[in-house]
Amino acid sequence: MSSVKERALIEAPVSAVWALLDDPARYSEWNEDTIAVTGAPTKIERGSSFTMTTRSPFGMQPTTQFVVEELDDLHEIKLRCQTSGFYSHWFLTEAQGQTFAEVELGVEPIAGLRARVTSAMHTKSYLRRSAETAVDNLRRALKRTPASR
Amino acid sequence: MSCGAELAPICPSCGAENPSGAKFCIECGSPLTDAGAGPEPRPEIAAEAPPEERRQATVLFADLSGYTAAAERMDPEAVKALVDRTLRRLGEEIERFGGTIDKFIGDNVMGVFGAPIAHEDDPERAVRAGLAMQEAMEGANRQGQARHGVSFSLRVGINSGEVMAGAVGDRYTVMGDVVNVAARLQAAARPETVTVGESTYRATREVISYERLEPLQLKGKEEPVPAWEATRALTEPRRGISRARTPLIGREEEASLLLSLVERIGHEGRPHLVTVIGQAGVGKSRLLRELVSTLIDSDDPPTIRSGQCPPYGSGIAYWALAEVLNQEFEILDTDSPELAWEKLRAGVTGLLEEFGDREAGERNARLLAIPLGLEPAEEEPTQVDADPQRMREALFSAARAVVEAIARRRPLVLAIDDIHWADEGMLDLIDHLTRWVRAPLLLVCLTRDELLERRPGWGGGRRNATTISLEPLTADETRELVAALMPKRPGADEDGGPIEGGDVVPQVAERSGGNPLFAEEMVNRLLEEDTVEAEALPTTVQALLAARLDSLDRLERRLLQSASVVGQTFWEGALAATAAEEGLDLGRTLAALEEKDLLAPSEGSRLTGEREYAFKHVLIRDVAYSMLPKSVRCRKHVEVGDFIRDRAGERSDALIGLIAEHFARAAALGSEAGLDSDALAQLQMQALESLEAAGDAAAALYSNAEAFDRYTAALELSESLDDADVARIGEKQGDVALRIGRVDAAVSVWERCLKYHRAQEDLARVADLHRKIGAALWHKGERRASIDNYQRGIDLLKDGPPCIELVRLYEEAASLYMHTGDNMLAIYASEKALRLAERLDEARAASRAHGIFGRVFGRIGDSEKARENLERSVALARDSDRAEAVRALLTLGYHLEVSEADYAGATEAYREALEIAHEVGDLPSQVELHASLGQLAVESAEWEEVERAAEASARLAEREGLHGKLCFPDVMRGVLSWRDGDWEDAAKHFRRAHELGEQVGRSEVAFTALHWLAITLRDSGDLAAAEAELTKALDICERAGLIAQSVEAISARAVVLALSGRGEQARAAAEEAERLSSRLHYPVGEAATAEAAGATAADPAESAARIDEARRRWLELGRPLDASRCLVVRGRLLLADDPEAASDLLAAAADEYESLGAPALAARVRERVEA
Repeated sequence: MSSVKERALIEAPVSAVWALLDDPARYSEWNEDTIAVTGAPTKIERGSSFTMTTRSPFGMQPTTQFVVEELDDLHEIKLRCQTSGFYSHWFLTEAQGQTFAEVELGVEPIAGLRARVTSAMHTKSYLRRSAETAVDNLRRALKRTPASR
Repeated sequence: MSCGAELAPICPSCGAENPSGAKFCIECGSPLTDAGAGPEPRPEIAAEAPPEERRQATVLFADLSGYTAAAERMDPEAVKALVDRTLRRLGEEIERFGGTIDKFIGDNVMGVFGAPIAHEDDPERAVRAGLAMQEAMEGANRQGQARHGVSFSLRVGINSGEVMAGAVGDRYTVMGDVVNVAARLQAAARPETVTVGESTYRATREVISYERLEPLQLKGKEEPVPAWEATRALTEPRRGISRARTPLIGREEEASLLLSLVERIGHEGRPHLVTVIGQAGVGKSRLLRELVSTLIDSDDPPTIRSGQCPPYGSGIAYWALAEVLNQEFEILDTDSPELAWEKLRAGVTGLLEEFGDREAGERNARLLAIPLGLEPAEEEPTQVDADPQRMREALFSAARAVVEAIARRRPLVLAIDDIHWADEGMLDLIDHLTRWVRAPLLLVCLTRDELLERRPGWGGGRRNATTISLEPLTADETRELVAALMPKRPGADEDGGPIEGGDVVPQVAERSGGNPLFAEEMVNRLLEEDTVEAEALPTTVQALLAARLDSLDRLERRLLQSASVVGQTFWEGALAATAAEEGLDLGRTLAALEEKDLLAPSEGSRLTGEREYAFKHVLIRDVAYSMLPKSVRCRKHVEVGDFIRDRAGERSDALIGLIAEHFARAAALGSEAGLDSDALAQLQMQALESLEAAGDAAAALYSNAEAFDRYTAALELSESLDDADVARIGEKQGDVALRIGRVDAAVSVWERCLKYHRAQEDLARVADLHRKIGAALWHKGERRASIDNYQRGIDLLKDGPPCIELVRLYEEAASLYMHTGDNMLAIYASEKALRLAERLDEARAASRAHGIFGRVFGRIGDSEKARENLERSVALARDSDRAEAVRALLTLGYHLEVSEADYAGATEAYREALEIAHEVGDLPSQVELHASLGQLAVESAEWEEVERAAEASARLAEREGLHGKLCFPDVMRGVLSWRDGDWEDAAKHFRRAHELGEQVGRSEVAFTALHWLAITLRDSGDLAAAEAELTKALDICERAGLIAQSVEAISARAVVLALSGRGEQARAAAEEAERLSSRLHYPVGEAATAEAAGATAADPAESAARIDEARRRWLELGRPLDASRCLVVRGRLLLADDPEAASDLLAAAADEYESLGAPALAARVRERVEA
């Protein structure tokens, strides 16, 4: 099991950042690994699930089911891939009119060969880069969509 | 009507019921029957009666027994006359030794030594009197047996201590437990013995021989009482080991002068008188001992004889001469009179015959037998001249002849101690010997100033006389002496090194006022009582000073006592009431006391327009004060408090501490003296108000220890406090307790306050106390309990209106989360605190919130925002609160150091913070700041500063019990051991620092400790362990978001992997470090990643280039040790492929380490070169 945390100050209000996080349909706006999201409810809540096709290490594009494990409006969201055990856990809090964000990416392998392979592929450095990229991309997406602030 | 049964006697003094037949009260020692059987009751009190005083006194009880047989055989009138005569005779011994007969009751006599007049040796006088009484009893029994066939037994009991002296009814007497115990000791004594209590034994054990008794079970005493039986008086006092070891300090010139005078008489063959003059205890006898021991050790020692003039008793004229003769002719106390005479006769005759004066020998021996109390054999009666003058001349002539003869054999040093107590005859004899002896004689006379009152011209105007005046030692000399007297710690060498109880040295030195005897006695008391409390006065010193006070005029003494209530310094105006009461001329009396060297005018005055004086010796003040009854002290303290308040006027705030001290003393004394409850309540209320005000004033000036003491004193006035007072003052006490590092005390007192406010349902106070307790627990490293307290406080207030208590709770919680690396929570709480602070216009709280923002932003690599917030934090703190500025500057300094590598800026911030922390008494921050400055000094290899900082930080943390903060100095100590090449010790310190850092939630310190541990393991050659520790360090970075530090740790890991030959992993790590560094633009990271890149590059040229780049960057940053390490890394990597180049690089690194003051590191590198 490995995980990394990334913290960043994002120059946007919490509500704007949150708007990108709590709407799976918008994930492709800022998460370059997201190819497509289907089956997401209009408003997600704890226990909601949806299907997401992503780019994985070594060029694979698996389509897997994600579940919302934690949800605290404007503050916390945790999504987990039901196939690989990969998760992303976001916290947001306001900091001087901007957003202090902390994201933890990790893999908690579940049984099965595929999960073990996924876990092996998600090395710490891979996760670290993914986390950094996710934050950078969020920033960029927010700059592109000033209206959402 | 009565039943005829014997009534239990009731004490007329204290009302206690006593056993039938008792003569003295078992409670207070007062007589239970009227004087009647005894010969002379004590005279009634005269109009000029001695005042009521507390005094150190020795009480003697002597009881005759065994006259029942006489009563059966003799007429009652004859029995009465016999007892009367015997008691009179015994009473004479009391008076002979300077005591007073307090009373006779039946067959019992009570004597007092030390009241109304004290002598410096009252306990000794009392025991000598007791022994003399037993001797006198033997004589009386011989007569009684011869005349009536009867004899008595005598039991004597003696005890010393504090008594209350003064009038009881129309009689002056002493009262107290001391009296009662003396009576009980007498009752328990064996017939024909003198039994003494512990305090008497301690005061006299050097001059009296004792046998220890089994502790006595005395009536009225729960515990057995230690007791000793006096067996005999010693001619020469026993000197304890410490006395013999006392070094001679500050008297070198005088000792040299004395030696030169000994040489001079040897050359000139004539007598010389040297008088050493000085106050009691100033070192006259010590100087003499030094002279004697130097002379004894010399190649051709002179003859040395000595005598002492005793302070008591009559009929002991020429005592010192007798002592000299006893020594010369080896006459012992235990010799029979016949043998003693024979020794004297043979000695004098032989001595004078040697110089051709056969006839004079016998005659002179007979004359000299007189001062020795010897009677020649009856067939050779002494021709005593009826004319005293002629008799004296004959005696002087005999003494001169003998002294001259001794001195003719070889130069004679004749030392006479305490000549201020000498009888007139002895002084004349000294003068006679100085004038008329024709042989090399040095008369060394030791005396106090009093001699000059009797003989103003002593030794003056004569060519063969010298006076050496001994002044008190200087402060430095006294400290040196006290330090030398204190025992050395085990393992310390004889000549120096640490001493036990070193902390009390300055205190003892100051209190002794340069008087070596006082210093020595104080040290002896500390050692005997195994205490570090230097305030209490040894009984010996007390007695000496009490005697000095008693020698003063009654009104002078009264004035001095009143002045003692004011303090070591006092104002003339404060004595006006006493002067008026006593009808004395204040100015003249003060002048007289100044003349007597007891007082001195002060340079300035704390009260405008009031002339100020000071006691020349603090102990004189203490003794004068101790003699006043508590009720009188109480009244006078109130008067002094009122006086200061009136005179201070508008400045009374500045003097509130002094005022509070007087009112508090008055209240305490009033309680002890049994003041009536209304008056006491009024005093206590006055004391409470002034103590609280004094505490507030001290706290405002950051005099935290003083403030703590004031609040503590206020809380001790529990009788006049209600719960609200206790809670209010207690909370303030806790505040200052935390500031001075007394965490447990603070938590304890706040928890009590919490209960009160909870009962009052005062939510704001309850919440605020939770915050305070949380902060205190955080200081102790109890993170969980600390968070719980903050949370409880927040829960109480978060749904209510904005308030400062809530702001503080958020900011404390934010601070805790920031330190533990919970950055998200730290930001969350800071945001809450900042918003509330801005709404409430609370600059201090806003400062703290900005500080936390800055620190967290710095951690995540946003230096610009970090600096912006930290500078704002400092600015707000400077405007609002000095104490807060410490925290703000510390945070700014840390950011500059770690995130920006701006070491000059960091040093400046830390130094300013340290200065303010000193000013405001913030000890926990001082621990951290010393260590932070030490860490900066490590970067520049300024080892002296590192050592100083480590020592200061550790000492403070240990002294104040700030154990959690020991992680800071531990890192420093580890670095110093690393520098010295002591890998094991270094690792031990780093591991402990890491453990403590984790325990108290200081993630940055825990990281630093692990990083240094890895460096140490790497340098010791254990690369696997080094890598493991770096992995752990990176876990901390991950957990706490220490991105800047993580770059350095990943780079270090890359180097370790490269050195281990794990090239691929090393390169991956180096790339990771470089990638992170490029995101952060972090100067230290850039140097570290260049080093990692150089260490892992496959191409030798690229490797060399990157290592050179790293060296340049490290040097630009001011980190020469890291630059030198680059050479080591490169050298180690080249060892296999290019040993010559590797050797050159390592040799260069060794030279650099050498020049950086790290020779052990250099040696380690050279070992590698050689290997």
